[in-house]
Amino acid sequence: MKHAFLAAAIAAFSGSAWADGAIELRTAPGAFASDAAARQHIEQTLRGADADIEFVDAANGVVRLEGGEAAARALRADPVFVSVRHDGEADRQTRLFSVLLSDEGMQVGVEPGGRGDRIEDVPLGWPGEFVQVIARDASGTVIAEGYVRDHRFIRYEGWNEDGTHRAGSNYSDVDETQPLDIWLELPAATARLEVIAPARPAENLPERTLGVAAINAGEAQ
Amino acid sequence: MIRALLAAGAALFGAASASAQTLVPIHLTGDPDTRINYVIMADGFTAGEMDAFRTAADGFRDFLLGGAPYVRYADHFNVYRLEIASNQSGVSRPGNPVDTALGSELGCFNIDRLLCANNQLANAALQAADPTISFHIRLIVVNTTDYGGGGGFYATTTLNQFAPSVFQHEIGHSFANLDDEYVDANICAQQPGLYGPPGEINTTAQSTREASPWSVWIDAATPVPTTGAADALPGMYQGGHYCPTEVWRPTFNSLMNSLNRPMEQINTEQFVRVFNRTAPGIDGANPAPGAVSMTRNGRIRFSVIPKTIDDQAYGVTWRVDGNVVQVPTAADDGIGFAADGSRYTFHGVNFAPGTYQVTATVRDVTELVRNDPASDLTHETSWTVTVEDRDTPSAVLGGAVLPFARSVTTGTAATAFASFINSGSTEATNCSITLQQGDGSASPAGFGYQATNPATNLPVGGMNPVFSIPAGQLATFVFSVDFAAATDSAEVFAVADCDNSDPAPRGSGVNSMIVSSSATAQPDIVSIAATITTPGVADMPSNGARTAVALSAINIGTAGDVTLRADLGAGNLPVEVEMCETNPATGVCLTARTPFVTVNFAQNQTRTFAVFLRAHGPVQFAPERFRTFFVFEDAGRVRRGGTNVAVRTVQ
Repeated sequence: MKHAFLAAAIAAFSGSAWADGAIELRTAPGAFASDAAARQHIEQTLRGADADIEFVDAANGVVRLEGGEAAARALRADPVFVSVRHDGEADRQTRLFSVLLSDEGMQVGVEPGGRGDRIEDVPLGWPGEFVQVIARDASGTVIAEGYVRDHRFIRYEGWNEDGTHRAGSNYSDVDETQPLDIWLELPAATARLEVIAPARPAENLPERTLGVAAINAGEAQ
Repeated sequence: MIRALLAAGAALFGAASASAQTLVPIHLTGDPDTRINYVIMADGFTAGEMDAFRTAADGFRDFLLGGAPYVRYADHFNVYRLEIASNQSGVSRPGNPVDTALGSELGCFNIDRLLCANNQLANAALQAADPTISFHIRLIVVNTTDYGGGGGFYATTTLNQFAPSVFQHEIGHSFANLDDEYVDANICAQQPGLYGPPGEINTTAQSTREASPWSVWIDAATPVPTTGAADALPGMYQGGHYCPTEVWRPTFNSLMNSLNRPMEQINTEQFVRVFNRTAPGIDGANPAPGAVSMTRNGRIRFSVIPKTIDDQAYGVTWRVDGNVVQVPTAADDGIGFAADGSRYTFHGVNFAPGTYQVTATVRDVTELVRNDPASDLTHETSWTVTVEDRDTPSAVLGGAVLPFARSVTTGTAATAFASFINSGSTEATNCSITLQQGDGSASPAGFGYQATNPATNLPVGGMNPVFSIPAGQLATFVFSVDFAAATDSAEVFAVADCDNSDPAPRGSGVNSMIVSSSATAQPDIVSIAATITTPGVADMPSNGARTAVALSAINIGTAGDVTLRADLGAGNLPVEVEMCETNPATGVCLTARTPFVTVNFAQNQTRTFAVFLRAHGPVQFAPERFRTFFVFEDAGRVRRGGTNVAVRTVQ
């Protein structure tokens, strides 16, 4: 059961993980009354997915865009586009890595199945709520990066009896005496993994590298 | 997240890991891999106080799933309570320790109302309870009515009446990545250095309508900046992310601003995006996504199980190499889980030999989301189909095995019956049977088979014969499996192959058997299942009503405690299961229905059970894959018996 739906986890990847590419759409000729109508329908279908509409010929049912996988997926869900071809798809082979950070250092294992922790593009939270993860390939190029939650993080917000926030009450802490355990679904080409604690200004802590590991031929070191 | 900590946690916190914990589903709608899993954990409740925790857990379940935006996605959630008894009742306070299972302390870090649990104890408890489930929302309920709580990876709360709204706010942070929308001058004075810039989901540094992250929600008639105190009116309200100016929030007063308030549109939209990101919109697929091959004159029926919202299945668009081959059908837009469009038949004759990409795409079309930049609400499954440059042999084999599970002493053979049918147009010749593992490799177990008389089940002829099966006929066998070493719950497949056929396909629960081989004698429970309408198939009504399956089991091994559980199999089925032991004479439940049943099974005793199945989404008829397994497991989760049925939804 744990092997299913890795694709969904891939979708949660940092958008920078996969390159944009050309998307060619075909509709039934005349399906849209005008180029503007076709353009409007495409924008509605995209619902904010990043893509540039570069060419529209509604009369002949041809549209070309530049966009990423999110845009292509949204367009594939709409059957009015009788053909959706996207040439920007990168190699999406991934592997699942378990990472354990403790006083003894950083240990990385390659897992046969399961789901990785949710990876966010940006650390949307308080300092200490996330750790940054950077994956590099054998050449040292960054091939994926993002942020995952640190389970050692605790947050407090105080509230008044009327439900409003109590000013000056906020507090947070990361208990770094405990180990950090995260699972990461990353491109299969990952050869080096870095885990970084972003700066925590309230505690006067700078950004710190928590661990670095090399991964060779499917085995972590 | 909690996985690798088991060893470390157990070593460091031996007392806690020794505590008994029981994970009880209290809202189960499908396989946990395809659900948002919400766990409610007990702390400070003694064994004698566990009923109070159960009541509280029901309350926290109903509070969350009963309100917006959760209520419409309740079928995408599983909810569990983790019962873990503490040695002492209550909660620690500074200088006044109480011996509780998860080490909660009220007043930690010298903040009166801050409630901290020991995250490592919590990790270890969840790991010990079920290491296979990823929990996305984690709430620790502490046994005190004093006001207190905390957020983070684990949210903590008490039995205080104001606790639920605080919890809702906190999961706005920890689950949905939402910002605080309130103003706090102390923090603002240290911004942006302290908490960074606005997150640009529900707070923004942009000040114009056009640049607003939620511009699609702002009505043209709404002024920007927006003033007034109206509820549910999206706009650009000044103040948020701790600062009164230079930051804007989307609504006047949402739950991310004050307690006991609605989430409002923009925060709700983010929740729905994260619901979709967490629980895939396709619950299962058949065949398993990946590479499949077929012959020129063959066909493959692809099917998916789309999720539902408001009791309607997501529509499915099918494409081959990007070209639409099947559009969502009217059935997808109707009531219930009919979803005829959730399957597509690929006929090899329509394609030249080569490789093709078949894709099923579904989309949650909820009106709660207008902006979906990462296409979180669109979900896909795909297969790479190779059409081989040959035709299917004229003999076609299928196989079946019973019973589904055996448990024997190492060195003793486990036996079962196998039947193979030739549904092709010519006789299958020079056939033999092999024992395979799930990946098609040879099983290491000793294996032998002998033909049987189908009328009497008695063996006939010699061992391991080469045989033929006439067109449209079947051949029956008894076979033995003998593991040389102790083996827990190994699945093996009996596969027939002939000179002029492909091998009979492997199907879990169809032609497979679970074998446990132990050093000492154990329970060995042979069981069968009976369904109401179609033999061997549980027909689940599309309207959400339950169907029942009757089980009868006999223990031909030694006496022992076993637990009957349901396993939804590799199909990730959206199926809710309850069961009970029944009176064999009347079929009436002896106890209330529960997610699992533990019994002490005496030697040679026969017991009966009823299992109730309810679908939370469409399930196509794919009996080789979409099955529900009912397994008897010992305390170590080793399978000592079981049976299974195919499942599908019907109108």
